[in-house]
Amino acid sequence: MSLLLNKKTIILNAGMGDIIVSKESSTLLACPGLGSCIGLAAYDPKSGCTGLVHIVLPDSNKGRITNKPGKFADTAVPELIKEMKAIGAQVNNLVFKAAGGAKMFSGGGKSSDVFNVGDRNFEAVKLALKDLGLTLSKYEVGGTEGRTIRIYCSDGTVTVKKVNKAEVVL
Amino acid sequence: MTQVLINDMKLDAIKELINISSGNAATALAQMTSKKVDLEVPSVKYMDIMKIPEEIGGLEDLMTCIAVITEGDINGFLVFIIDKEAYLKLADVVSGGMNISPESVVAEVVNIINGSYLSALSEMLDFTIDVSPPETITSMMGAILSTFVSQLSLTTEDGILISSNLYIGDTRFKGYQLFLMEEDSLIDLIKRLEDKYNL
Repeated sequence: MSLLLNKKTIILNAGMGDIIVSKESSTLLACPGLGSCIGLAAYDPKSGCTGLVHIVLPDSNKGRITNKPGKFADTAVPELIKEMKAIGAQVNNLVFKAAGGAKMFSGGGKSSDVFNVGDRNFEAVKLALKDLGLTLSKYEVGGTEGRTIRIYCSDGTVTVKKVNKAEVVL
Repeated sequence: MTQVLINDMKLDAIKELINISSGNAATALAQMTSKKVDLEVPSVKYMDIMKIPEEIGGLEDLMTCIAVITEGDINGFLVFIIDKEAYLKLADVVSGGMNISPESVVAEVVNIINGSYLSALSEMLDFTIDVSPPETITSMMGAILSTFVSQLSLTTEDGILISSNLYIGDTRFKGYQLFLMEEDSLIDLIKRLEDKYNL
């Protein structure tokens, strides 16, 4: 297994609230520079389907109406699964991994709850999976550092990279 | 879903307010540093806040931001973002080699810039705005931006992105200033602009 990108690798970045799914082994899905957001990656080893969603906030009931189900954890998880099924994945095969959920800003002590959105995002992702009888197999969340999560469509390898640190396999 | 519409005329009024503020900030910074200072604002964009990270780009670049929370008539954030190396150089140029932490030096520069925006808002549009102490964060660009954007995206879809070039002496510092506010505050800002300038 090599983490080196070859010339043919196509990198697709998921912006805030974006969901990307792929069956092409030459693609690499990424959420570059996650802070309090969560990058949730899914892989079906049997069909080779991969998916990645860039989740921004925990609860769609507390936000304004949006046409981006990927924005909120509670709507992002079912939508990711739906889109993966549409390209041939089986729900029971899916392996989920997540990174992000950092606390970047303390808000000077006040409004500390508001700035704990990273923690709340992670809890909401776990809850949304649990509601469907699913779990996270691996994750790296919390702390105060930004992260990039990548999923290599060739074999479903998920990696996490922090500033000035090497990319490590999750 | 309601979206606050800002037409070109209103955006021009906001740009004018920012240009006046930048001029005032440059004057104050020149006094502070005893150097020639210019603060150019090449672009002011009113855009979907969720698109701001991609607009700026370099999401994994190491950046430093100095952020304050605004409260009162305008609830939101003012966030000054600059490349980590430029941040250290800015601290060095402004402190003139004196032994002061980069964090306090740059926070003071940003206080002056923020202060000029806020006093323009208060003088021209009668806003009363309180500001929290500045907080300095160094991390990936995307991580910094998305953290502030996500806070506001509960209530708001659009924000103001100001690109700026700060010249101190002959050195140019390229940075960004995010002015993010809750939708109610933005509606109030637009209304006061309309009333004041018959837009």
